[in-house]
Amino acid sequence: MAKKTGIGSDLLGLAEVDRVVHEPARLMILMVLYGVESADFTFLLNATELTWGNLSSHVTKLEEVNYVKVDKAFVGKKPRTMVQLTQTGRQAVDSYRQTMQGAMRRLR
Amino acid sequence: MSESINLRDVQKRTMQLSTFEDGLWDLLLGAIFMLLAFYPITRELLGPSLNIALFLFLLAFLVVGQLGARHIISGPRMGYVQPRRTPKMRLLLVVTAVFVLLTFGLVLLTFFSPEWLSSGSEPSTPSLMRSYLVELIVVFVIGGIFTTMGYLFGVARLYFYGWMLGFANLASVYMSHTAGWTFQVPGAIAAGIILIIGFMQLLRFLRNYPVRTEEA
Repeated sequence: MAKKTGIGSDLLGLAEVDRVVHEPARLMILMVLYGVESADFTFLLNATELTWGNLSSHVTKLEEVNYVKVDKAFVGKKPRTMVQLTQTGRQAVDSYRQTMQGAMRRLR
Repeated sequence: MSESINLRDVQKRTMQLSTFEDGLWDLLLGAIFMLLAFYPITRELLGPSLNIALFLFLLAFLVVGQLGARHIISGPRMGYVQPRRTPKMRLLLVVTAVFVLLTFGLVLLTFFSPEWLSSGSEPSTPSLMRSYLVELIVVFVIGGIFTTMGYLFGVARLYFYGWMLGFANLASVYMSHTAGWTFQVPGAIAAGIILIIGFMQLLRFLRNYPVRTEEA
């Protein structure tokens, strides 16, 4: 049986990119969280300039795939939601960067 | 997408937002160097022991005040961030702490002006470099620390602060030796400039970042 070559392994690799990370708003959230231990919702709002609803829905999506961990707590009487990148999330970002860097290098 | 996404730039911007955006760091720095500018006057009035005690008390008061202001002013507006504790970050913190302590030590040393460091008389031109050796070291130490910090955190005004404070200290000591100025006027001007920049930064921060009332 002849080996299937398709359109080339480079482009097929690009097609396998993690779509949860690839979405621009989620990528921004992950990039901000990559450099810190954890950040609260207010900081993420300022850093990403997303709306509250948008940020909330994207963080929920990231939490569902275990890329981020969300801790809700009360500081005094005020609620504070801290978001932290998990090890899985960190690996996903690293993998995404490698895939995209490789693809961009080959894209002419 | 016309611009590349640089993870290091994102991390720098995160650091800027969490630490330098509100101007409180600048206000703390300006206030500390303003204290140092008044240091020789209060030393004459209070004596060395009481003066150092007062200085340390005011320093602690400023640091605690800055932390409190961050909690009350910045927290609800900018949010809270826990920095990542990587080995590189820990090393950076240790090196920064050592250099900051070294700088303060050298600045205080220049104010005490021990005899073994200077001739004690008005310096002649050939021995000018040797007479102001400590102050010149202070210029490069402060300038170097702030330049490194400015580069690492992506905050351009830190370059300006470092070299301005270093040369202001040199000018203060020179004026003290040549004109007998007890009050460190150049140091106070430099500290005042930093305080003004910090205050303007704080006003801009308060305008740009209103208190957010939503919370999940």
